[in-house]
Amino acid sequence: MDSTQLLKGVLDSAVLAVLVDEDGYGYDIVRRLRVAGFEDIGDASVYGTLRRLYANGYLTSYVVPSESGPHRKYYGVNASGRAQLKESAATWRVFAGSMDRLLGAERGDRA
Amino acid sequence: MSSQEFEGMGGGLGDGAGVGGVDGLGGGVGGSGDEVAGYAAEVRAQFADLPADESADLLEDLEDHLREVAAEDAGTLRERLGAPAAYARELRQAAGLPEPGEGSGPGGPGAGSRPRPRRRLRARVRQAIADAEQRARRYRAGREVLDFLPSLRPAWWVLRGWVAVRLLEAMTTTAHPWHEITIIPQVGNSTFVGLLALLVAIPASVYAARQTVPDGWRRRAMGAGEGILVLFTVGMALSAIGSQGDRGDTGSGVSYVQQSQSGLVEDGKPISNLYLYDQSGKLLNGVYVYDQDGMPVRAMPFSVGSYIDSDAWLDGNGSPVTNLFPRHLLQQQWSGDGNSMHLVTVPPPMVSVPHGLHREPGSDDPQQDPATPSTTATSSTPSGPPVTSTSASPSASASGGATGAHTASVLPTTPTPSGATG
Repeated sequence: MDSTQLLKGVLDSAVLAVLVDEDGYGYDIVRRLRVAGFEDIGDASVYGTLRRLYANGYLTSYVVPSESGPHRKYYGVNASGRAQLKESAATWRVFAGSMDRLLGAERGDRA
Repeated sequence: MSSQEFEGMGGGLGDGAGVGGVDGLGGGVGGSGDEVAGYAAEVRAQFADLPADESADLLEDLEDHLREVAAEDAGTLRERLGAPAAYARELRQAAGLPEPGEGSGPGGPGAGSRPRPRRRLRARVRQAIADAEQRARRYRAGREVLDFLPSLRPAWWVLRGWVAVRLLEAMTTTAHPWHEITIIPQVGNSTFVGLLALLVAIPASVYAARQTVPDGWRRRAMGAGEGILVLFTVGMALSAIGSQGDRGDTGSGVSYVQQSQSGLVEDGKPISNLYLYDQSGKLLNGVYVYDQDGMPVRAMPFSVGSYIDSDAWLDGNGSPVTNLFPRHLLQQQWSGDGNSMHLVTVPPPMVSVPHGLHREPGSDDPQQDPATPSTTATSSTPSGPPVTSTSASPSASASGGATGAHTASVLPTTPTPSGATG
């Protein structure tokens, strides 16, 4: 199965997760996600997700001037975003557990 | 939902450089500085079907974000992010927006806003331009040209200011819209007012180009105005190219004619043949004619209504002889019943050679040079009073003709130094 299809559903949670401990700017977030294992993640997907999360009020943002290169817009998770992440994390664990059991059960049947 | 439409996105809300009609192309190309703006403009263009507030929220930071990306690593944005259209598609999906084609379906984020056909057409045109650019960028030359174009924008800002004043001149004066172009146009027949208008129009044009005009009637009016200026500029450029040929010597049609035609011309009228008579009124045949520089005189190569036969004359070396007069001209003649045609020799014109040729008795006459007897005689005689004289015998002078043009009765058998043959 194409992992990008799966990723779409959890991208919000993934972006909130990489930001929850440390604020980051757009390209930095892309890099963190790739390091975390989502190697195929597209820049546009991350940008779109960031904008949507921001529009929904889950993120704060501020601009950090840079001596070399452009100013960077940093994003951070606010209280609403943390609550959202907590909620979606719980949903994911239930979902993933069910899925694991299902897949594990199938594997067990076959074995 | 805001009633404000999200039109004209291609120029870019955030793209300060692009305002008006020509930025459809200009916004799409990017130099090193404008690469981000160009890329962002194309991505924005893909969202033209969405309501303004929706895409504005989404695309607000696009330039900033792309600038961050561009600063991170080497390589162009296209190389690293792919085509703007693909980027826009991915962005749409991530943001949970409908695909461009399917519109905002019921229950979707844009429920209630129906994409209008015009907007869809505009999006399609933008897509076509983006695709064309994508194709051109596959080649090195294409990339270099496209990257260079945006640097010409300021030149256009200045030019369109001038063109606007020039348009004003064409409307307020009798100056021809395509011709009579001067650096400082006149406005109301005053160069001073024209200069003032230039001093206002050019800075205003550059200033306007650097402003971001909100969508709506103002933006549309500016686009329309710029379109008119573009058309007017193209018209002037085309007419300038067209009139390049006769700009060298304005007002001298005579010299133009002389440059373009070879052969004898008298007062602008082409001369197709010369008939030479001696002083006794006898038509001379087979006469070589040279000008003051010793160059062979050639009649007009073409003669209306007749065909040149004597061009077939060749000298001993096989070179064509062109200064043998009179030329043998042929013309068509139809038989009485009009059914058959044959060529006949054009007869010599009816001329009246002066009679009673003589010189004024009192005039000093140094010109007994036999080289120019007939010209001296014919030019001086008619004005003279009819006094009887025995001085210059016309026939004697004529027989002493200089250029070997001895009178000969039949043209083909003319004795010539170079041995002309048929």
